[in-house]
Amino acid sequence: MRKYSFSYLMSRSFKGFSRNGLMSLASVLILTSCLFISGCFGLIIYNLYINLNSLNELNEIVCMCNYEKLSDEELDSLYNRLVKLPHVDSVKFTSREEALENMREKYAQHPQVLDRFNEENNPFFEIYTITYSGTDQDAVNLLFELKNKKEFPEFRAVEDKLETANTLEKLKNTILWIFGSFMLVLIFISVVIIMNTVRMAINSRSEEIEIMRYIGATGWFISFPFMVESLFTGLIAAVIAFLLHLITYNYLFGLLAANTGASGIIKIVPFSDIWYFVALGVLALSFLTCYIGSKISLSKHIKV
Amino acid sequence: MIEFRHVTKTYRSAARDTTVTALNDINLKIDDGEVVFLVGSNGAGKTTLMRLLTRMEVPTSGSLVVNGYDLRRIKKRRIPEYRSQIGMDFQDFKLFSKYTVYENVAFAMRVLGKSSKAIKTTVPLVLSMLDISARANHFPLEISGGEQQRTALARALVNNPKILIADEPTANLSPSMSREVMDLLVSLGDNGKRTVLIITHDVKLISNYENKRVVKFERGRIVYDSKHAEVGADA
Repeated sequence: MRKYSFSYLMSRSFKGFSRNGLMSLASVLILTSCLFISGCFGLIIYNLYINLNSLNELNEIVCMCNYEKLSDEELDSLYNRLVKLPHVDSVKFTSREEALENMREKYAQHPQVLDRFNEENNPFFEIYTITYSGTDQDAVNLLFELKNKKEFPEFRAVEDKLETANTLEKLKNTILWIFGSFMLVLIFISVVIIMNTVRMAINSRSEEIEIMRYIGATGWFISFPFMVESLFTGLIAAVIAFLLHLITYNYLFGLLAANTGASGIIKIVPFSDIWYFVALGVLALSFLTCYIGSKISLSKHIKV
Repeated sequence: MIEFRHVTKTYRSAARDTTVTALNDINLKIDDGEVVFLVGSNGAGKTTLMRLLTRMEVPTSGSLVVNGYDLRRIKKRRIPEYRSQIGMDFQDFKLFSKYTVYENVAFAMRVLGKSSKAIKTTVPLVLSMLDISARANHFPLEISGGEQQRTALARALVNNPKILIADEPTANLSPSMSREVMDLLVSLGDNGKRTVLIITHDVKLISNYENKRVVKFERGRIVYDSKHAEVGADA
């Protein structure tokens, strides 16, 4: 079993990296660009998701009771029937008093709007908010059941967001497909770039490789420096791409905050909340593309 | 021991859509410790033979067994181990211009994973044996052709190979230097512990070594083998 000096192998790798000079620099820059654009797509998708999901809780059905007040027993019985329905995850009861209070809190800046209402003339109803899980068909079946007057005569209205949820789901999927495809293309380009860089590095050292083969070098010994060089390229590209994300994201975050003010129409996740995802993402993507690219190139161009 | 049995090597020329036969039905047995000159003009098949011996190429047919390794069936992972038993001396030396003489020789040991301690002990010994210790810290371009050849030889010998193959070792040297290098190569096999194969087209030079075996190639075939002179005594 041959025992190679780790420091010797590493020094060979870094010598190779510096010897390739402009070629190494070019691959770092191209890989950085691909990582940066991929990262941008990733961040856009993430923020779109956050915004789309925050529009509403879409797997909710709101059931409003009749205006005639129900007794506590009737309410309990209704609750028990609801929780037993298939695909129901939770049932939340809101009394008409709570509903009035909630509205008062919501319109605290304009108290005069709700001042005239009290316990006697409360215009709200008891509400059951049901969250569910399952397929679209499950949701439709559940709705059908809730809207059945024979089963639930206590409800005057049942409101769902199924259509909105479906539209948003389709929108999210479309966005994911478009951006995902772009990302895949960029990853493919990165892999090809690394493959070419490694191939060029191999070509520039073909004589050295041939001598090593004649002497009895293992494929691993010959390939190791190229792999380390490639991963080092990936590391530098990942660090630069991360810094670019940090700068541009914070700049755009500031710009959007200044323009949308406190309205909160567009919600942008602060970079401080996601920096580790970005760091890990670019690093993993970079290492993966470098590993795959160099592995393909090495197995193709280095023969033992 | 090296044994070629009906070895044929052909190459496919995709451009011309033809097959070129580089070696044709070669039968050759070389015992351990022999010094053999492999001679022939360009295209005779000498280099193909060298590439087969170093397992850079695989015979198209026949069998080639070297020191117990069947080179047609050898597993890929065992090829480096096999090659480490062969020292290769190239026609154009193939020295690294950015490495000193010492580093060029040490490189061969590093490739085989030898320790720094072993390198520090062995390299000076080999350099001294080949009389180039004084040039240890010089770069290849700073030394003469003969010294470059000695450096290349030192690199080939530093791992103490069982077989030494010298491919046209005098091609780039002056006549006086050629004789000196050839004497050195022949002497390396004289103790009988190492097989030395010297590939050359300089028939005049090898006439100085009358007691050594000469195998002559022509168009991929052996036309003369002094050990079995009857094979091609007319050659």
